[in-house]
Amino acid sequence: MAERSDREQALRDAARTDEELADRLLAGDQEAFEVLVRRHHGRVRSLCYRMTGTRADAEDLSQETFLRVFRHRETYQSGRRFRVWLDRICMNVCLTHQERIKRTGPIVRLGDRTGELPAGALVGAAERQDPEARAQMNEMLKSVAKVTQDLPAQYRAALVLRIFGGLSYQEIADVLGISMGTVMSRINRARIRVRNQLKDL
Amino acid sequence: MTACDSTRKRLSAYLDGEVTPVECASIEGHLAGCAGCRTLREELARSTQMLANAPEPHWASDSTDQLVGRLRAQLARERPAPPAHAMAGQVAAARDGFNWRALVLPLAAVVLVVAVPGLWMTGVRRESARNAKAPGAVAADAEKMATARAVAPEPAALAPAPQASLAAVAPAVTANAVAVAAPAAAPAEVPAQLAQGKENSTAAGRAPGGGAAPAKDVLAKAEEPAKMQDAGLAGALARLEPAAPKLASVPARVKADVPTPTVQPASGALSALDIEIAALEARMARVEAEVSAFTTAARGDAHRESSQVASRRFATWR
Repeated sequence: MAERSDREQALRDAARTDEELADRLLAGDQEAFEVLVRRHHGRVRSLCYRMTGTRADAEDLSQETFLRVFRHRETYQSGRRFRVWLDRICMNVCLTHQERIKRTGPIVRLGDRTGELPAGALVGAAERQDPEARAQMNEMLKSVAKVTQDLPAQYRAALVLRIFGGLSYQEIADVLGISMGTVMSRINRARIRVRNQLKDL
Repeated sequence: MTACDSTRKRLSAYLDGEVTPVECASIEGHLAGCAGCRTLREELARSTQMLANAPEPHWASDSTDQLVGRLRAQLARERPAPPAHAMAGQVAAARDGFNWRALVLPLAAVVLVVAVPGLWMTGVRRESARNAKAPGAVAADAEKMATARAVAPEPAALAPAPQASLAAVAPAVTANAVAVAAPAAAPAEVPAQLAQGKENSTAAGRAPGGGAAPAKDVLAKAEEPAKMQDAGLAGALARLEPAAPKLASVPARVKADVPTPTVQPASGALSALDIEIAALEARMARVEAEVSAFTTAARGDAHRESSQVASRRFATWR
């Protein structure tokens, strides 16, 4: 019976919009918070991974993002898009992390060097069957990851939000607090840099 | 700025579908005639595709559950922090609360020491007045009260019972009026109303168990709010009751006012009323005992003494 009502509650929560849940979060509702975490964890972690290039950082920073979401829930303005607010927190967490690394040097974790992809990282790739093709592909992916990491943080943020966050230019402008024109030029410059580095691949 | 520069600046936005139809047309017009810009467009599209296709690490399938668990633990650890202040506040409040409670008795003593002579004086006056008035004056008072009550419920009393059953679901005030009106109404009217209630209730298809069922329902329901609003009145009546045996001349209407009589089914509500009356009487007795105790205490030289005691107690509790 309790199980059933839990399930019903879960279904009701699943049917709620982010903004409805965020309003409940504003009131300190931890259940609503957890629904939002489950809903957005994958996306936030992906953004963090693309921003930092390491798995461990992605996990740490996505956790940090959600902690900040709960701690600073009162900064969410009811009626505004929750995802924009969430992505802004996420980007701030990532950019702060980059700044720290720039000052103190990267934290090298065992088996998790920047840009390295763990074994078996290729998902659904035909090359998985062929070791040689797989090695080649892995090399290329490493280069791609490195290319992203070599971008200036602000360019990377705009590009990551576009390519991996699927945000519109207007949303990116809202998240980063910059103008549409700036978004356009940052993404364009980032793309040209990436293209210059990947041209030989 | 050349046409190529202008196009290249907006090529990303063009690829992302973030240009206006006019811009789009102008870019496509340029691309059609410029091989260099066309090549750049292909390369930008390809490198973007490579970035987008770069796979993510393989995340554990329960990683979200793990994250939720870690967040829960972390927030639970943090929760005591803000509540730590609140707790400190609570402890302080508890301390304050103790002090306040300790202050209540001495303060009450001080207040009573000041107030009791006054109360005592008025008490004496009131007592003598009561002695002078009873029983005729009390009877007159009771009559006044009865008329006051009889006037208020009149419109509802005129309304037929079935309407009252609707009214009972609606505002409590009306229901209250009906409840008061029913006993106060002339006894002859009641059977008529009940009979009418039966007719209408069967017509309405309600459960016809017992002829007067709906009307009784109304009364039973109406008693509830009536009970609350009558509490004060019941108290007044309870106060009158000791004098009641002496008052053979109290009009029948006043007796009817205590809603025991004619209508039986409301007995639950009535016994509740009885209990309330008893409780009120007990309270009255307690208050009287307290007042007389303080009056006695205040009579002698107790003034100075008790205030000394109070201030000493105050000092120790403080």
